[in-house]
Amino acid sequence: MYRTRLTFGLPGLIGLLVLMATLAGCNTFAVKTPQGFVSLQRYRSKIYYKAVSPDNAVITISAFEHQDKGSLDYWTAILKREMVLQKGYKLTGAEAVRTHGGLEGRQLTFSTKNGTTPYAYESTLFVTGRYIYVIEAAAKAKRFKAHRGSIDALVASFRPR
Amino acid sequence: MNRVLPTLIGLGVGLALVAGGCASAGKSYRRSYAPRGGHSTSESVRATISLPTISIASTGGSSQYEPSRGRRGVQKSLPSPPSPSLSVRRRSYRSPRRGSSSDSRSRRVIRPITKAREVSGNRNPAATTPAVAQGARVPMARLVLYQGTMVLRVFKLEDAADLAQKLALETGAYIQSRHTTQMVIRVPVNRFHELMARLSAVGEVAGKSIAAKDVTRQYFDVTHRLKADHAVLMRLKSLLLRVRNVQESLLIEREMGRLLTRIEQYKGLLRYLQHHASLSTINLYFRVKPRYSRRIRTGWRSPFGWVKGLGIWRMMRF
Repeated sequence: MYRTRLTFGLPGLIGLLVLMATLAGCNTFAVKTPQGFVSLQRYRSKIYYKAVSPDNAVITISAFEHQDKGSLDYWTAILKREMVLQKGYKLTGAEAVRTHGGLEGRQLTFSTKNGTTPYAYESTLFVTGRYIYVIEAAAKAKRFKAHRGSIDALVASFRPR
Repeated sequence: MNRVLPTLIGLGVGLALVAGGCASAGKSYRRSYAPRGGHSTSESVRATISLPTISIASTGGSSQYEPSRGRRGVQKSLPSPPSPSLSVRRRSYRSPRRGSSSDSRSRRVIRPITKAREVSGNRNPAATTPAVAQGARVPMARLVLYQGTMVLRVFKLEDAADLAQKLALETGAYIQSRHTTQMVIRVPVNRFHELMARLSAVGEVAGKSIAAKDVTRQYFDVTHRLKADHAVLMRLKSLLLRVRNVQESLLIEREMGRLLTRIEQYKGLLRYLQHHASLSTINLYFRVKPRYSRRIRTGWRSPFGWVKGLGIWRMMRF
């Protein structure tokens, strides 16, 4: 009786442990920190990532559960309205992007001010079945072009899981 | 004849009394003399022998100076003529004992006379007398001090303050002080209302008030006090030249010192009133407007919570 219980219980227990270990070890996305940036470990979680450059350019990745199933265009429109109508940002550009893995996304570029300093802000949107990913990049307007390559490299290396 | 004689005698006595009284009155109250240097006496340049009581009204009470030796004593101490630079004119002579003394004083016009004026007879008061002594021309327009206060609700303090400062400078105003949430603007009075209207567009007006203080009466009051003090000062100067007693001279100089101090205070007050009436003050206060207010203005609100957290504010927080 005891052996039978152990026989049925052990595979289940092992399976559970393996599953927990797998879930704990993996994030919802993978990304390669670009050159000139350092990812901040204290901000790193399976749904959030933050990297900074010496001149205070910041890149963050946020993952949100995709409960209300919408298309990429829909979320792009929502993001655009939120930034322009709600936060007062000025839209300066919009284009389609693609990762190395072939995932399509939308990239919106805005200009805004942090206090009195003009800033450039860029948000890239990827939508999968489980998550909505937003890659945000911000730097002082004068310094943003210098980080253009690094941001593009990070976006291209982005890989959802 | 018996009836006529007493009547004639009575008339003669009466006439004699009247004639004698008039003569004695003239001798005791009026003297005229020629100034030194062969200058002829005229009706316009005539000094009285009597030294009237000098009374100076002041805010802290009144001080009174009366020559201790009375009229006769002063008459003896006045053999020298008045200075050619000053003259005391009276339009009509009146005994200080008759009527009110303030009446007779108010009719006096005391003006400094330069040698050029004496020689040439040129009567140009503007060229020789200070503006106050000859009655400064006071503008008849009302003097009103405007003070405006406005509370503005804005999203970004720095941007709003910059915009307000730009608008103020465009209207010829200047910034008296600027802090993070407060600004004091001095604007020409004729553009006060215009600037208030323009500042209303900087943010949402949470409060606005305009206060006007009419200081016309105060201005005229001070002007007249200044004139009066100046007149007394001129009289004291003329008296100072005539007295020979050191004690009296010291007393007069002390009074002159007090008067000068008060005159300067009045002048300062007039300058202050004029300056403040020409420039109005606007106190501007900024209040940070909560972000949800923008939703009401734009009419759009995101139904998805996750997008609200996006933006550089969260990114720049370490």
